[in-house]
Amino acid sequence: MASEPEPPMDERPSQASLFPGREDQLDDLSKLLADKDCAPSVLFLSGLPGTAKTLIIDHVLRGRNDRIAWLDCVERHNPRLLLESALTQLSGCRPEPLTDDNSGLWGTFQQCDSVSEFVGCLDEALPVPAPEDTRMTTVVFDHAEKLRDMGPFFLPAITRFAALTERTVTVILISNLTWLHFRSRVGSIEAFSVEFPQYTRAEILQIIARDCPADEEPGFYVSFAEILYDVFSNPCRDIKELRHMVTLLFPKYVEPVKNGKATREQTSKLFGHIQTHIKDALHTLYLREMSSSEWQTQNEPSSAASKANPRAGSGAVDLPYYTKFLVIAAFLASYNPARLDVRFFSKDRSDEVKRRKGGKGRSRGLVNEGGHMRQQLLGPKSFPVERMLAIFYSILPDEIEGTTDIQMQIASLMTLRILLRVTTPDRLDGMKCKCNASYEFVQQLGKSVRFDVSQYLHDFI
Amino acid sequence: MAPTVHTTDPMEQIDVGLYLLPPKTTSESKGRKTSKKAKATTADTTSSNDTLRRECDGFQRLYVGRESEAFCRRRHALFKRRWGCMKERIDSILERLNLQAIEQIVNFVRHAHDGGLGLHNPELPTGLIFTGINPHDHERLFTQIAGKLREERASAHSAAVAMLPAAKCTNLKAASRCLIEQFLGAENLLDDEESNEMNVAQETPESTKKCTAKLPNYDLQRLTGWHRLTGGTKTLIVVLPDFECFDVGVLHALIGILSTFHKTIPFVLLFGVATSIETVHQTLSRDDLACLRIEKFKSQQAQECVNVIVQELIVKQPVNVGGVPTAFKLGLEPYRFLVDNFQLHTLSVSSFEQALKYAMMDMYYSSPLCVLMDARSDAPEADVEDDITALSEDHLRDVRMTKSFRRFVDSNLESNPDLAAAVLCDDNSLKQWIRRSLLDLDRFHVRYHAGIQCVVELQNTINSPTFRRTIRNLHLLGLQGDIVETEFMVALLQLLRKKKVAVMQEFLVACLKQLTANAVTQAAFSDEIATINALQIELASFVTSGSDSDDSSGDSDGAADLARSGKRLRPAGRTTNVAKRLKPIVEHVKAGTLQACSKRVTDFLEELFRDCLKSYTEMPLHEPLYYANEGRLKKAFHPQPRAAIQTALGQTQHYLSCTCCPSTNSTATAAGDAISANLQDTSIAYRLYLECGRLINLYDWFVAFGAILEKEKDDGLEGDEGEEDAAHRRQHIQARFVKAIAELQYMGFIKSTTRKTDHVMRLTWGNV
Repeated sequence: MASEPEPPMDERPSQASLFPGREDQLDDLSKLLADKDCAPSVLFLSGLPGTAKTLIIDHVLRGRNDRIAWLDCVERHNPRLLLESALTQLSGCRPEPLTDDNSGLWGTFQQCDSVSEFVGCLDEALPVPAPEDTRMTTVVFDHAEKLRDMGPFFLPAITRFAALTERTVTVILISNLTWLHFRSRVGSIEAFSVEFPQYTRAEILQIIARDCPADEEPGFYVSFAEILYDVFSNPCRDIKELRHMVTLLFPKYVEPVKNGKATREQTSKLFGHIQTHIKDALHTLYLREMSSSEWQTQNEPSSAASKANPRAGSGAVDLPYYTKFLVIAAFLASYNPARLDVRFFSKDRSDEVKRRKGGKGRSRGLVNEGGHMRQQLLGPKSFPVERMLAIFYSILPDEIEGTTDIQMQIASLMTLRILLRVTTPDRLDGMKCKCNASYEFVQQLGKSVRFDVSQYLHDFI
Repeated sequence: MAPTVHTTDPMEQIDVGLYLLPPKTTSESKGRKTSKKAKATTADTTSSNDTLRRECDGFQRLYVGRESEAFCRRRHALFKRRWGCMKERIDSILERLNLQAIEQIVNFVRHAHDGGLGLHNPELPTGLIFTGINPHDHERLFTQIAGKLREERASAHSAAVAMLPAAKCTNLKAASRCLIEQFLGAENLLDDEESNEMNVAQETPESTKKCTAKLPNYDLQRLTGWHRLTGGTKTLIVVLPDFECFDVGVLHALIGILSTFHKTIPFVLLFGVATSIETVHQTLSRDDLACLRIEKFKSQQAQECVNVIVQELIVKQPVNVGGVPTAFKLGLEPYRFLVDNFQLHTLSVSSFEQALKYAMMDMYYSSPLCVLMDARSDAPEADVEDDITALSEDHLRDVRMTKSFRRFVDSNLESNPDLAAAVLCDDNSLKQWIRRSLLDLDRFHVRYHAGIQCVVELQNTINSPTFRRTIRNLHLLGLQGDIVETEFMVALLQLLRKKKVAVMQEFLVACLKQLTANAVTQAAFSDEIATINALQIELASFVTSGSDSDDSSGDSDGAADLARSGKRLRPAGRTTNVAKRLKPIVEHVKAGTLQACSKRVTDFLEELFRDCLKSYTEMPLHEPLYYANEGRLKKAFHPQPRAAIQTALGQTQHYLSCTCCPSTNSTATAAGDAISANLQDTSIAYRLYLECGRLINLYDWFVAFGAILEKEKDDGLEGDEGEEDAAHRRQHIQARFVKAIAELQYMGFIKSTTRKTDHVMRLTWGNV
């Protein structure tokens, strides 16, 4: 979601300082959309998330007396919603309740299910403007990549709005894909494309600098941002995430200054202080394991607390005893080749034979460890449920009767997404599954039921 | 496992589908049948039974219908009352246990939109509630949360809560509709679609507004518009109780939409997560996560909930002083079944609750003596008179047939032959005996409960992770009896002796507190309380007098005890080197009085536990109070479909108790080929199937099948028939064979294979 992370910009004076690094695009767009007769019929804005596409076009269109329909294709997820909303916006009305009660029925301008209906209704909604009317008619589709899922002809029809309605309509598509992905075999026309490249380091710093709190020296803030950028730039150049990190970490950075333990000039001391926090943050980058509010309340910088905290929710899955074995069985079935099942699980071999075999395997194991065909690296393989059950009954320390409970547990493991069904749900027999549990998780389970998983894993022997 | 129960209960003859059983007097007897008497079934009783059964949820008159109607109604009423009480208790327990989590969540929602960090992009406040793996259990939790949030916000700001269960939100359209419906609180949205055209036609002429068409009922503009018109301050709380089940695409879109709306509408998300935060990270994309401000909450674990339920509803005495039912007693096997089922299979509080309810219902449904459970023997006489004096001849005979009664008579034969004779022959003295026994049981339950509490206290005092058992396991030990002899208790008492005086004193105080919890326990423990007081005084004297050598005495005391315990513990295989080395010292240490005293404490405890926690089976007349039918529970909660099918096919007479079936399977197996032609077709095919190998030749099977059916013909009519008839007959047999095979395939016994033509694969092995 590219909800643009910009503060309201009305009070900002000049455009150039407003959008660092976006001067070219701003210039292009305002020129392109300057006059309704010259405006392209399809304008395509592409760029990665967080490159100010929506913001710029909003800025360009805002304040003009144009007729604009702004449509978010995620929220308006089918043609009817899109077109009805477009009609309503262009006609200048807004949905309102039909009854006195707000929660009752709501009315919209016109019901409209397809593009052809839309063309018919448009005259009603928007009388053909007089030639001297300089106002433009613009339809903006945000998240335009969703349009491709709405039927094979919808997108081509949209791009030909101007031709279909016989008016000067500008269709603006905003997407984080390139135009290449929008071309279709049928009825595609070329769009006028404006690229939004990724920000450079200087631009990012410039943007971050604007977040500087009012009571802080901008230079000091920027120097901190520089440090963070250098640390984080390898895994993350997302401006949104970086700004988030800077805002989160800055209070920790200035803490010694506020406490009087250091001055603003002692950068290395301050950096030493912040280092542990940065490490933690780097570890959980993107995950938002700790919310900003939790971050704020957590005063203790001690690494123990911060390490214990993120793990509070993880690994705490409490499963019934037999279900643990089911998960282990599923894991073994997923990561062991089926041909070795006899070796691992056959009951008529005595223990020492198994150990001897295991020993043999270990010598060969060196090859396994390094090989890139190792199953641990390849991910889980699918297996028939019967195989998992066979392993399950063989690894159980005690005999149990086959009851519906086991089947119920399999079903509940599927809803928990620990088991993933590979076959279609309507196929009842010959069902195949995959195990979605990590090795660490299964090892933990094994420990709690005193079962050494690694003993039974082909990869580790 | 083949079902071994041969009952005449009509409900157990169900083969397939649904049978409507005409109401009739049934011989409802569970092993204590006395059905020599003829069933005097008159039209009159039938109709009265009919109404009775209708009014009492199917409760029937027992003793072959000879039980009085009043008793039947009483059983039903008692069941209703007891379960009502228990249900209420369980609900309040669960609410109490989750109170903290709920309060945290409410608090989180309340402050979700206060201030914030001044981050540039508004983050959706999101609460992750880690619930546990049984989503069904947590419906209650989420309704509680929703209720709390609604009333909480009613005062300050208004809030609206929408619950989005994954089952209803299979796509974005359905999810948005669900959201709008719940927030706008309008049910009329449902029939929107159908009445669309008509409504519009009606409204167009009178409407002066520009809006003429209706918004589709899943259009979120409806939500934004509604929010704007209702003041725009309402916090909207979206609850997703089962996060794991949600479709990833829907979730992604939903989070995207809500975060764009978030600028104008304050949203709060609450996710019920069954597993761990890793699932959230796996499910949501980076962009989604960036929109959320996540906080974590934990609801009470199922383990803890069940512990409290066991403590409050099973360990306690069944009826409290006021005569209000408080607990339900389960015998050892059913209780073990419940606990095992919980620990090994489900970890689900609600299924525990259901099994408990089922056990209780079965008790009241099938056991005529259960009325004694609610007979308050020490209550004002009038109340008791009703139940105990009204007991019929059948009831009393049942009492005399209980094992505990027999044991009582046996033990009294020598010492008190008059009493034994009286209870055996005289109904009135038997009733007196019942009353007395119930009183004893009451006292036993009170003492038992306090005893278990003391063991818990002891554990707390020892405070060692290896010696910590949950109350549900302690109760299991208690039911087994001889708890003092268990290794666990022996070790626990040994450890106590090693503790210092102060610790021991503390423990005694705690113990005393348990024993004097209320007037009833005080009365039941008068002797023990006195002993504890004496011991306390004794210990106190050590503290005051031996304060100079407090530390050293504690140590030497510990060492001496360790030495002694080393001796005692040797059989248990716990001889340590330290113990061996310390052994010579024990001779030098004078038998100090403190050690003697601590020994007295443990001896006292041992005695206390031996008496309080003796097995319930030692108590006379425990049968009416303890539910014992484990098989019934197993059948209901651990069904074995495969075994049932195989029994149905292999031993048909279990299900169709008709005369034509061979009486037992022994004849069938003994004779080998003697598969009766009277059997059902599928059953014949199945029996032939049992004799086959991995791949079955269909033609051979068919021929064998035909041969058996031919036998039937031979038995029937002798005369020869025409060519045409024979051909017709062959077709008939083939059709029947195909049908039988199809059924076997449907049930998963065979599978078609391409490996060999005209063969099918056999899929099941071994006769379950």
